[in-house]
Amino acid sequence: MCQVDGTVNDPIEFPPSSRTHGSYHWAFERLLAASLVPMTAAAFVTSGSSYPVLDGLLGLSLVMHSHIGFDSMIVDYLHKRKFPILSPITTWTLRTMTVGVLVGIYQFNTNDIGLTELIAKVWTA
Amino acid sequence: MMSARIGLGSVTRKVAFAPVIGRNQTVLRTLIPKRGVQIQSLSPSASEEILNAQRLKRPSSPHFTIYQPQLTWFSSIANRMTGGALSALLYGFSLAYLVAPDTFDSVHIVEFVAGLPDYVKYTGKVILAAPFTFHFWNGLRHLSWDMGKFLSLKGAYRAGYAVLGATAVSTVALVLM
Repeated sequence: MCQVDGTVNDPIEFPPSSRTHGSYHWAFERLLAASLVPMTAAAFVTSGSSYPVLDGLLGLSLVMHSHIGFDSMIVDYLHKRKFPILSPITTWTLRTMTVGVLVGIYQFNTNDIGLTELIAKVWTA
Repeated sequence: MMSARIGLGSVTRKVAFAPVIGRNQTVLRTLIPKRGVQIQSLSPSASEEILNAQRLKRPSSPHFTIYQPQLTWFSSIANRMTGGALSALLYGFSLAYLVAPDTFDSVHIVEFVAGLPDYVKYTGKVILAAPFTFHFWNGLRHLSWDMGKFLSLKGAYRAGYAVLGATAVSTVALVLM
């Protein structure tokens, strides 16, 4: 059940304006998404084993892009206003998982063949 | 007479001959009994309870399923679903490797995929390639919107059809790779 903040006739309280949550965040998301285009193209023409920096960059950027995507889904479908308990739990689960994923990708890129090489080998397996 | 010409004759006559009692407002107020409406003062929490009780009885507004499937909103939700699915795969693999690096290492994965029958391989390739290419091309469509391009309805549809075409072509190309 949706709750009303204050009395029924109180206007909505606007959050304080913040560039970190606003324009900077928006621009960062777009730059990140756009930078994935040349990285994906590079991954197609090179081999991850000979360019480990690309694998590292790709692993970091893909995870950040995914994290932002998952986070906006939580904001849209599990907002704190409507799910006061479930929403923070989900947000912190996502944050924990993202850290784990970053470590896992780093391990795979360091100790195994790396992300792009794996995809190339699986594709032609 | 002036008043008769503008139609005030009857009104002036009525007031002039009406009993004094009808003209006195104070007397009128005490004579006519009050109506049975009373205003009750409610605390904010009590008024919210009433509001919530009313909301429970409200009919549900029609959900988005009543809308005709259109390229504009279908491509939007498809972008989120394909992105979410691909990200879930990335997260799933990375966490699996983090937890069990000896089971989910590249040698085992490639070995496992190599042992699958051809139709499973091709189906798997389509299942992976279609969301990837769609999200890639539609992501470019989103980025061009962010730069102020294709923002008209016609532009959004043109870019949308271009995305569908590019997705089909590149999915086939990737599956045949």
